[in-house]
Amino acid sequence: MKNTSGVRMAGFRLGTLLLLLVFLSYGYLTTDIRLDFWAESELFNARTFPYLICITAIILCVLILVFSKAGPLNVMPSRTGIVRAVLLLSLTFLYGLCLDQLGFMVTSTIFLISAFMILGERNWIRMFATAASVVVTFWILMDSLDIYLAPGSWWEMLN
Amino acid sequence: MLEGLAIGFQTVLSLKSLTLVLAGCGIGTVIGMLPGLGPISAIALMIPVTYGFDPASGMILLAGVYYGAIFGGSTSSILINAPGVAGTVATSFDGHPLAKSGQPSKALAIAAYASFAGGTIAAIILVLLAPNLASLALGFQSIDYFLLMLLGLFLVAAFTTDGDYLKALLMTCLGLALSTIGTDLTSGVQRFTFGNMDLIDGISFLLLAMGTFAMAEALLMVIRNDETSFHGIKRPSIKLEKKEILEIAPVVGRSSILGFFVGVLPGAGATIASFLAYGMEKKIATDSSQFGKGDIKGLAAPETANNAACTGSFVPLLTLGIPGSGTTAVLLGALVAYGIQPGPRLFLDQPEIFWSVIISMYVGNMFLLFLNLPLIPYLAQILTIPKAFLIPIIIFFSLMGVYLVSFNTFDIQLLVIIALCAVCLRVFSFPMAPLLLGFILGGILEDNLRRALALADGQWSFLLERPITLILIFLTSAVLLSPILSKLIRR
Repeated sequence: MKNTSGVRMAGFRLGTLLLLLVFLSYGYLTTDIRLDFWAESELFNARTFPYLICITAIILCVLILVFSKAGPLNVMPSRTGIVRAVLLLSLTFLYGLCLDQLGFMVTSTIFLISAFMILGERNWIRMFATAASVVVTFWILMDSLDIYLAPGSWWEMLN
Repeated sequence: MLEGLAIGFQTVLSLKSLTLVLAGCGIGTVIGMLPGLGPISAIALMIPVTYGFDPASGMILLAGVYYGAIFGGSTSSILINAPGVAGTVATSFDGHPLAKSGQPSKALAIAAYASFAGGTIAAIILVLLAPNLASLALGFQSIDYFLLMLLGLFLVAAFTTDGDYLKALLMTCLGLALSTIGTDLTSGVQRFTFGNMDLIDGISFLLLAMGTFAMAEALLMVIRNDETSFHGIKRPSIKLEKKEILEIAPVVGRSSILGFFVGVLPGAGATIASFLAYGMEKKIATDSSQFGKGDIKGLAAPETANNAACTGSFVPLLTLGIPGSGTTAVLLGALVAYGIQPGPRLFLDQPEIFWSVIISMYVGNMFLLFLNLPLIPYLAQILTIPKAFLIPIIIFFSLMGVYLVSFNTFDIQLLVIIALCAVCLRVFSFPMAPLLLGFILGGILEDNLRRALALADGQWSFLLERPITLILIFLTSAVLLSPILSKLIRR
């Protein structure tokens, strides 16, 4: 129990420190915003609001680090769960990379079947039937709304 | 007024208009359920269809689509925690836990009843107060809008999260910071784009909502690896017990009034209304520990306020020609396309349009209730789908919702990054709702503060000149300090 609490506190502090780092970088990048020469002397320019946010956030991060406790974890992660989530995220990233080339129908069907497999499903007929019906129904719905989903540049090249 | 109401009823209660309302509600519900296609998209998609109609019929159809899309959005928000539009984010706080606890039919039924009640009460207030309310909203100045939005942000941080208040405020700042990415519309300067063309227009609301809610929720289900996450779904029942009706009746009354008046203020709209209503109910509840865990009051309040605000947002649109929200801005475009200029003259010159739109809202609400209630048990069955199938489908719809807005695969990659960050933050109990609201209001907050300072020529004395500004400053400060003061008092 003590161990869990220690891990929670370390994770929480690390998270807050990372957010502090994010806002420090945000503040630094704010100084990089290019202003027109006349805007620099204005009371409110494109840098003002980001500065306000940055200062407030840094103060809040420090206050959280000093005063806040970690609190219970919202989720108790499991090792298998983390591995599956990472695989799903990677698959989603790949989906984004392949969508333009392979097109909506093929990429989406492969994506869904792979995701079903990652989550433990092994019945190929069920997987294919579900994936195909979801993708085709979605495509028909979009088509009826006059939303065009491209077939993919590779198929167009082959044609 | 009675004459106007008679004209409105005469126009709406014809077979043609009733068919249009029914069609609008049905189409709106289906489109609204698809993540990514909220009321704005639904109305925009339907405008070309209405070009062949007379203006009154066109507006009747679009009003039906509007309400249908909002109810459809609530449905996906409750069932798969995927709020397609900002106005239904607060609905998911208790709606989704209630659905997950095995009562999805009840959650959807409460949403339907609350929407109907909110829309009806708001339509009555609209009929009674429309002309006077428009002039009241016109009295608000930039600084008042700024303070009102700040009040909304603090309320959300203070009352809608169980965790640390400071964490909620930090998440609000993160949302505000994300809203500054892209081109500053006033000066035309690019901010935080790193020279990337895909970031010039900033991050879309939908992308953030999908990443922090739908996608993150799906990934958290995976991480938990908990096969019993969804409890067995009880016999689908849309009936509420007498005790439950008595419990939500005062909530509906309060939230309707609050939602309507917030909706009247241009720019405030359904999102702030739903968050404020949720925060108010949580604050005044005798036992607020169940909020966020499936409390029916926590579901009824935002759902009622959301619908009431939608009705309220028609006030500035119809009487002043000022759109009160993104959706009413699209409706304004439709009115102009029909050759109608909304404003005070609309009352006098084309009363049939003004009143038929108002009456069609009420009729649309009624149709929505009758149309959706029988479908609720079937909609609720979505949760009985095995998780190995449901989770990828949720992720797929999130991806499509994001992709359909821009047709840019960069958004999908950004979604993955945002979802990853959201999961990490949610594991350590950092709340996501303040982040999302901060993001939605960031641009409007900045614009109003800039305008207020420009109008006052850099002098801060304008803060003390008008009673409404002073009241808002007092309320905002009180809400900001209330969690700290209440802690001190408890000690």
